[in-house]
Amino acid sequence: MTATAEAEEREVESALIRGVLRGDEGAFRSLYRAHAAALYRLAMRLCAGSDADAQDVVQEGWGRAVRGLDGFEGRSSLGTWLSSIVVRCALEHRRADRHGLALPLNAPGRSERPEARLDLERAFESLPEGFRTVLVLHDLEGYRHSDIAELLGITIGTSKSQLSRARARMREILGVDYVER
Amino acid sequence: MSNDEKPNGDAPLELGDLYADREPPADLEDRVAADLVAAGRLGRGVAHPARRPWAAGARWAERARWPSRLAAGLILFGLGWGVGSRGDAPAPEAESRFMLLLWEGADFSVAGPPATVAAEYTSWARSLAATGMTISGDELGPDRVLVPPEGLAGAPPDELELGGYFIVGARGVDEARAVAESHPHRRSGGWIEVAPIVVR
Repeated sequence: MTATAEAEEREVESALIRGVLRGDEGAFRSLYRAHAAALYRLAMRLCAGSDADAQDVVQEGWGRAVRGLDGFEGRSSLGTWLSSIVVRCALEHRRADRHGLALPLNAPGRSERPEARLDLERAFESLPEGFRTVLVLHDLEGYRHSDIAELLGITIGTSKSQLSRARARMREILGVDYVER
Repeated sequence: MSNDEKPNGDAPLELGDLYADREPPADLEDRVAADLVAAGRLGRGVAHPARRPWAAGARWAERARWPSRLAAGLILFGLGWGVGSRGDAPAPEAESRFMLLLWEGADFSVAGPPATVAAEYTSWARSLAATGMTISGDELGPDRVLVPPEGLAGAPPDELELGGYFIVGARGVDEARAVAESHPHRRSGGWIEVAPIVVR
């Protein structure tokens, strides 16, 4: 993206944020649509593929984001800021619902999806919860081990160890076809 | 790696492919918005969407049509691209001014994120300015009152709202109409009204 396009995108985003802060539903819907897919997929990953939990997390995340939008200072991109809120919501959702997050191995429509994707999803969902979370935060979201440790209340060493073991388990399950991102 | 379907063994699997083909359910947006309205975060001080703003004394609702508003106002002027720019080309002769009003009905649906659509509108305006045509635009604020003309007969369709406007310099109504016909707003299902600006 060119510098001009980036500047225009930031300007549009700023205008939409001002609109949401004024209570403009149209502005909110524009912001929602720009980030909906990425946030939903992040929630799906953090909820081990549970669509119902992912929707709850996204809904709670948007509520918090709008409540805290006047505190958004633009130090990171809006997308990164929204992602961090969804991550926190997902972690809290999981703590509050230890018995939830049933793995959706027989989710509707699953059989219609490409086998390679199913292999990847099944492998991921078979990982212990801690492994999955560290894998998503570090390898997909780009969090540092120090940030992960603080978010999850674990040590940096544990974060590194869980990441290493998670990657190894994925390679073990999927074989040579799996590459880290 | 693309997100295209790939058979087993064809290409290595990446973690980035995980749920990459899953889309949020269509009704989630409405549920999230409804929550925020119920919590008083959205819709404050804004009348319920006024679908008949031409009724006598009706107050226009702030039901933003962001892409067109942003394109018409924010992008054109916020980034330093001047009002009434003529580029380096000479001014056309015998130019009158026309206002292009961008209407949006129930079928209006922009394709792509706001920034992309705004960029498309802006590009359209800049391409006209580069030919020497006078063109400017502005965002229309929410606090408007529309007074109907006397003896109003035949109302516009019920589902139209005014989202923004452009002012162009043209050598007559036919040229102004041709300009309107070239506007990308029409491709999104939007209506454009061409009206002469009277100079006394």
